[in-house]
Amino acid sequence: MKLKQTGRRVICLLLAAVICTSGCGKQGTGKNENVTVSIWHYYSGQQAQAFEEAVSEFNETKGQEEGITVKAESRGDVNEVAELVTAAAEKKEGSEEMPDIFTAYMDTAVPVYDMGVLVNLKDYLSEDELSDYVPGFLEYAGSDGMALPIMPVAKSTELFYLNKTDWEPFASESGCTLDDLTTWEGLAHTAELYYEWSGGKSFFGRDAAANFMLVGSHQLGKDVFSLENGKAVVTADDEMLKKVWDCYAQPYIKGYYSAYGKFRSDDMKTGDLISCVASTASVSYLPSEVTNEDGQTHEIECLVLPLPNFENTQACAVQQGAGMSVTKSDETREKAAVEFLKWFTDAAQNVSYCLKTGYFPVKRNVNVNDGKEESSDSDVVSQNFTVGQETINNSEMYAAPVVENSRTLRYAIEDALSVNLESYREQYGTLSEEEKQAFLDNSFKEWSKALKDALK
Amino acid sequence: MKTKSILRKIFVPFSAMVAGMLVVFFIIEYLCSLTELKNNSVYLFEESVSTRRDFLESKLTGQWSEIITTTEKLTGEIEDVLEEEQVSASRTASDDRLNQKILERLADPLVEIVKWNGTTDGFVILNGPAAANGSGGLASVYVVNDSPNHYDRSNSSIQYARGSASISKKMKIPLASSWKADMELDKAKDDFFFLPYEAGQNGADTDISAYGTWSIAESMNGQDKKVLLYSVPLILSDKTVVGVMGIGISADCLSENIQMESGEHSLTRSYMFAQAGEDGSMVPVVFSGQGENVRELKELPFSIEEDTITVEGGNKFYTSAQNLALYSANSPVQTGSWYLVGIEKQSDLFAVYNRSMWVQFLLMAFAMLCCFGSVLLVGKKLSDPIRKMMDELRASDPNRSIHLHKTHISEMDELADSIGSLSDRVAKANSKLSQIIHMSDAKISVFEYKQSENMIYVSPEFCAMIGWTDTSPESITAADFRERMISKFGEEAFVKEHIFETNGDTGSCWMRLTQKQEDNVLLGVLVDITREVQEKMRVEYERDNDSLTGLMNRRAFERNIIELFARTEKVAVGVFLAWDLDNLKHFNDTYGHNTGDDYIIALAGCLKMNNSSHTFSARRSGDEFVTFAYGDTKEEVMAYVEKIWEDARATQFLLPDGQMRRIQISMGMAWYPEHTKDPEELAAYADFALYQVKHGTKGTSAVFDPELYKGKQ
Repeated sequence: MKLKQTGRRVICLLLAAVICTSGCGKQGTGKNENVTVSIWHYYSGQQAQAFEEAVSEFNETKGQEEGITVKAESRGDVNEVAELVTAAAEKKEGSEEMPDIFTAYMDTAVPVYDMGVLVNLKDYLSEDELSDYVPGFLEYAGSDGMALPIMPVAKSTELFYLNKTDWEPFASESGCTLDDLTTWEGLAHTAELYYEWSGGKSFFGRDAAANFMLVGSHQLGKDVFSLENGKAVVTADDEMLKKVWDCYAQPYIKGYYSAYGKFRSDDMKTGDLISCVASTASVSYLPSEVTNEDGQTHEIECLVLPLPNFENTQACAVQQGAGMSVTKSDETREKAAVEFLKWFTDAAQNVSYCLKTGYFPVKRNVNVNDGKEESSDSDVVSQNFTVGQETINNSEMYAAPVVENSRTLRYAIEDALSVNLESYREQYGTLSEEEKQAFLDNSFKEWSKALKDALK
Repeated sequence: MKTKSILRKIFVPFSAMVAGMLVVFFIIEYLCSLTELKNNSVYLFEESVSTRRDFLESKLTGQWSEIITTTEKLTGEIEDVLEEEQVSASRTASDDRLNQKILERLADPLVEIVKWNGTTDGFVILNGPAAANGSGGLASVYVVNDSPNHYDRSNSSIQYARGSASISKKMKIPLASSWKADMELDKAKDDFFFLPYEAGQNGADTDISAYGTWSIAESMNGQDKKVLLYSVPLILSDKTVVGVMGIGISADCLSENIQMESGEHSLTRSYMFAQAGEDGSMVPVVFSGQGENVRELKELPFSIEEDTITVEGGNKFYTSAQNLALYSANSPVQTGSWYLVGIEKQSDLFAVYNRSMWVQFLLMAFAMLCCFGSVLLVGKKLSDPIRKMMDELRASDPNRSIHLHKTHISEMDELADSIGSLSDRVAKANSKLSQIIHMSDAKISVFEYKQSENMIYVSPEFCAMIGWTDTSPESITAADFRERMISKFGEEAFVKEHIFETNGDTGSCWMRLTQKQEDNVLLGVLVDITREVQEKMRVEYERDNDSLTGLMNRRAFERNIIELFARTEKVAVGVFLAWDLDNLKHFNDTYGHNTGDDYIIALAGCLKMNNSSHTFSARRSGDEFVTFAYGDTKEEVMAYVEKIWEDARATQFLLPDGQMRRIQISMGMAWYPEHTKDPEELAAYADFALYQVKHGTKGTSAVFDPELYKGKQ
């Protein structure tokens, strides 16, 4: 009997083996079931390269194992990606199919999330995994509770970059020191002195001008808008606006501050500015050589300094979370997309990406300086991480509250501090000395009213 | 013919037949389908490379490099500027301000070309300086597009890699990190400028596409990557060549456009876009694909001729190189041939084939196993009952009729029935034989013992005959039998013959056990030989004894003496006595012969009484008797002699008249070895001594006197 049973078992096993092996002709192993995950991003230049490299590495390693192929495409800038995704989500005529992943800031992702086309990443990440990430700034109070519409992939803050080579002759003649550059008030004053010293050249400019008001107002204890029951309440008050006006708008109108090219790092390259506030992620664009309009070039050295603060305030800096959202599709693709994001934000990959781009890792306890030695050779990049890490450690990190219309609010502030100032600046340039003060006073009233209206 | 089991008889031919069939089937399958499958894999692979080649070719020549109309627009703009400035075209070679003005006008359309054509790079390079105090590089605008697949309205994915910053400011296009204000060129390397520029200068053709040049350059945006450039000269209507314009496709973009495979091979197949050198070797521009080995591939020695490459570790790669026709046949500019090469590990390329092979093998093995299994099963079904029947048969008692279990195989059951009836007859015959033996009163019994099978058969009387009264033929077991045999006959229990005495019902009996070993079987016959033995003993007695007295006769006595002397260690000292009854004739004559016989019997009785381990006597004839006594010393022997002598002289016998008379005897003695060692001489010496007595004083005894004897001789 025993022999019979064994015999039967052997036959069953053989039969199963034959059926299995003959059945796997088409589908076969997991290796053959390849999932392609499409990504739209708004990276360009150095960031795009670093991201492409990460994607290739994923495809060749983890992707290969898991049968996931990631295809990343650049789709213009952050707003364009948001528009394209929104159009796709709304199925507008002529719009494309939504990608599986797209890069977004919180304020661009939230409206799309509210349309119900994005995955709440909390569904795919365990509490343990979530707790590894830097808390707070990417959570959104959606209609279905606290949601995570964006997977944080890198974070950045803003620093002050100075063309040290061209600063030194001015500093030694004017007596200005680096200490003067630690406050917005000091900076405005220094810029004025430089303007006079250089015969009308701007000293400073900044990217993302809106951050000046967002962080500044928070630092002054008078947030330009705050979050109440998930809605933005505009609380911009005149005193705060005046401070912003005096420390940024007025120097800008007067030509002490400027913005010429697309980014201030461009203006540093062309010698139009000798200092700027920019995202840590723009460090790779900082020049080591300045090329003047007439083609003359001279090598320079850059210095990375902390973000200036208003006098008598606690240090405060913006924490920007660049992230990626996953769109709803089917479970396999969603899982594959999350798999990529998990891999990308894992310590090794994230640090490698950060070192190439100037971002900071999004996981707690992961320090970009750990991997620095071998990867970064440029002194500026090194300073960038040191000063950046100090800022993150020692300052209050401000993340703009995410509300339904936060993007609109941000645009309004951005316009107020860039485009709108540009027209004042043009008018100001045509005025006589006597008219100027009165013009500035009037302009402030007009400007602050326009901003408040826009925020409403 | 050899004898084989049923199983083998069925198994071998069946298995051979099935195996043969399967092998034939496999060969046919291999020749017809599997080889075809392998060829198909190669065909599909080459088709797939070909499709990609066609696609890439159309992309390269049809879309990306489609800049002819734009070139006209650009040369038109240049001519406008020259007209506005009222200068000749040759001024571009020296006037940086003019060049700046021209480039400001060309930058916008250039960005548009890049975005429309979906290329990653676009450039215009003039043949003159970029700035008054520049480093001497040529005036140029080189833009890089990070979003070639998407028309980027905001220009946010466009960066300036080369060109005046004022243009970038105006267009709000950011500067690439590797940005430079002018374009420094190396004549030895930078074919993308010099080839079309010089071809344009030398050529007579106004169709600038004739001078289109494909070349490879290092990426301008600071990446350590290559870019495929297509450039044409900018030829004004007066045939002046003022510069070059072109587009570029980055390695990544090329790679993306090559690999559009889906399905099984997407992970294993790789492609390489390469430029062929004159020696047939390939210079890779970019690899594309998810092939786990893309990194490894970069090291492979590609060539146009070979379609397989074996690398260390034994991996074989299959390659298919397909030419991209980027130039028209008579193009004045040629920069080598361009290839798209498909690369796949042979194990992956032939995965389906290999798998099919395996499946075929497995199916064959399975079919074979099934066949073997079923043949075994059938064989077993057939042979098992037979074997069982055989076992049953072996274990059955041959003396009884055999009833075998049914096998439910008709032939076998018939056989079993036949065996049953045969055994019935045999059993009956057996029992008849037993009865006949029993009836014949011959005391015979038999046994059959198979030690290897632990089997014993004994006939009914065996136990009684051999003397095992405590067991019976029915209850005795093989082990019991063996044990009893060994205890009875010792280690040599099973040798040929034993004769032994036993105590039967009628007293002592003699038995003879004869045994015969035949193969494994020991056969034995036990015969009662008591009568035979008794008869033999009687004959022997009569031969050796005197019938009147019961004493030994002379022959037996002499034999005894000879046997005794042969063992001299027994006889240290001996004496031969010769007796003679006195006056026998007198008694015979007076009282009759019966009284004479009584007289003789009386002496014989005395002598018989004195027979012991050291003394024996015999009647030699009529009234003559002899005795031989022996011992260790003469004294000891003398004591025996004296005792016999006294006893004999005291013996009386009854006369017919009722009187008791003492017997009167004479005796002669001769000593061994004192007188002689020879038995015959000893007898003669004793007779001589007796003779001396008879002729002297009757009724006395005398010892042999050698002196006297010598004197008489």
